[in-house]
Amino acid sequence: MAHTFSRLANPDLFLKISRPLLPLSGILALIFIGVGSYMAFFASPPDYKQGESVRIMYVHVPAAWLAIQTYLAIAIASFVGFVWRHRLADIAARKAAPLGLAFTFLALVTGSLWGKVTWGVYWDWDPRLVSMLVLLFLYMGYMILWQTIENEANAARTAALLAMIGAVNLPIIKFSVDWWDSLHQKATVIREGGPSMPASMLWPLLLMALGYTALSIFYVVLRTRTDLLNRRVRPADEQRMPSSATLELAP
Amino acid sequence: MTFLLTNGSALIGQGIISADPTAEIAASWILSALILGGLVAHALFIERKSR
Repeated sequence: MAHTFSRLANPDLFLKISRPLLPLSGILALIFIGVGSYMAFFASPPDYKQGESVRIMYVHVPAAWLAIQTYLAIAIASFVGFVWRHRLADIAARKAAPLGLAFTFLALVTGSLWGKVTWGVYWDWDPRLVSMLVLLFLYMGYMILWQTIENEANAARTAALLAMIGAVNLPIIKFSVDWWDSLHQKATVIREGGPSMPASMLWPLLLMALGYTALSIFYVVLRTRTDLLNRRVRPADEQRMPSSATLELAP
Repeated sequence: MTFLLTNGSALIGQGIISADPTAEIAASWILSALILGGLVAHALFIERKSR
């Protein structure tokens, strides 16, 4: 496994793979989000209980999924960077954080708007809502550590520690609606026995989620690629990027 | 907490909850488009600037 990570952490290989991956992920994001949005408004019925407000679900649920998935990706990349010192993993994790923060913020705000319509309140100290708020603070803390610690290698290790410890919050988010009494509804898509919603609602939801995933790949690859290329054009002594398995962070 | 969930329709009847969610739906979609679009635009701007 370490060998696989070493191979993937090679900056030259990343730059080679990212070149075709960028337009591909960008086009897929546009198609999936475009078709998903159309279906969400024009090809899916109102909910029998929640009426038209269910259309908030098509942006709320994918945002929440991607908030969790992005954090999981950051935690795994942080582990790889922390254990095997693969700096490309640290860079990718750092570049993914603003996106994860945005998804978490969107999940909270759209959930709040949906809650106002269906529950009558914008906010409740509910386990699912609180654990998502904790995720928002984890993202903020992670980004603040990168910004405030001057030595980049130290910042990478400290932020990686926070990311790995914070990953304990992910199962809490997922299972909070099962473990405690919750105002939030239980899982309707990723559950035992399969999704409980009709195909006319499931398809636009999955298309939006695929679109957000493609958008995330586009964003993280673009930011990581830009960062790597910037490091390449630094002054003479740093100019040559190591072609070995690891990429040293600037002191 | 259960009270709010099971009595949502009653609250609508009392005028506590808006029965027309158009504003909330529009706000959710517009905010999502602005934030995600803004992030991507920012990433593209940084990439162009670094060339």
